[in-house]
Amino acid sequence: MQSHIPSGKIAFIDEILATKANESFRVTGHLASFEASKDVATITSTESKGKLLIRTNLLEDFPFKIGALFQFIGEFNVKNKALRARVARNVDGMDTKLYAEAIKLCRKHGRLPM
Amino acid sequence: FESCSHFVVHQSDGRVARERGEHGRHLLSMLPTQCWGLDPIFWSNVKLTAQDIQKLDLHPSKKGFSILGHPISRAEIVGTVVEISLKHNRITFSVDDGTGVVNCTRFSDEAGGISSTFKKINLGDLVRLHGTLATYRMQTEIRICAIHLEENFDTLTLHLLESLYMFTKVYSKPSKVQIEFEERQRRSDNKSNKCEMGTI
Repeated sequence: MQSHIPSGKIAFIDEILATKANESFRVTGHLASFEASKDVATITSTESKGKLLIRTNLLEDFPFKIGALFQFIGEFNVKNKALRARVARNVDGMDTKLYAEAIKLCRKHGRLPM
Repeated sequence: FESCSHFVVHQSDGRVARERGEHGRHLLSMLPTQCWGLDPIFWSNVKLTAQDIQKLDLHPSKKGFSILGHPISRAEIVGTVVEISLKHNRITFSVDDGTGVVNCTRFSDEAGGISSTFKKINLGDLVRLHGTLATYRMQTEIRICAIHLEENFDTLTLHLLESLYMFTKVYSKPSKVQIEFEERQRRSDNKSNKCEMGTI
C-alpha cells in the first residue's frame, strides 16, 4: 500500500549512526564541511554529539554553504557510515529546538515511527 | 432509503456496546451514508500524515474513507516533494513527510486545471496541500485542490503538532451526530429488544 519510493524516517544524527540496518532517513543539521571533489559533506547538530557523513553525488549544483542548516533525505549505508542524499534543502531559519521537541512529542504519542 | 450499517454490537442484555478494534479504532456503529455530511469532519481538510493516509479504513459500504469512526473525504498534508511525474493530462507529486510517501495528483481537466503554482514546484520543496481522498491501484492518494509552496520550514513542525492536537482533541472523539445516532439505536433496540437493522 505504499509508493515505490521509500519514505525518509525522521531521525537525529546520533540515532542514524546507531542503526544496524540500511534505511531511509530524513536528517537535519548544520554543514560542518564539504569536499566537492569527493562529493562528501559532514553535518552536525546541537541535539546530537556525532557528525554524520553525507554523500552528495546524486545532488547536482547544490549551493553548499558552510554553517547553514540543511535537511537531507536519503539512504544510510551502515558499512560506509554515510547517508547518500537524494533530496536536499537549505532550511535556514527553521527552529531546530522546536522541531526536535515536536518530534519527541509525536513519537511519544505514536504519531511518528520509532 | 438506505438501511443503516451493520456494525452495532449487541450485548446479551440488549445494550449497545462500542468495540475497540486494533490501533484503538472505534468499530462503533458507522453512520449511514446519507448522514456522513452531518459530521463536520467530513467536510474539513483533516490534518493527516502519510502514515494515516495509508492506514485509512475504507468504509464498509466502500463509498468512502473513515478514521477513528469519522467518515472523511478530504485531507491536508505537509511534506517534501520527492518525485514529480508529469504526464499529458496530469501531474503527480510524491510527498514525503517522514511517516510515508503519498501520491498527490492534479488532473488538467479539473476546474482551474494545472495552474502556474504547480509548475513552480521543484524536487525537494516543502509543500502544503489539501484535496480529496481517492483510491488508485490499491493505493490511497490525494486529488489536489490546492497546493502551496512553503518558504517557512517550521510549517512541517506546525503540521505535526496540529495533527497530534487534532487527533487527541477532535478526531478521536465521536461527533454529535454519532452520539445522537447511537442514542437512537439504543432506544430503538430497547423497544424491540432484539438484533435489528434500523433506518434513519
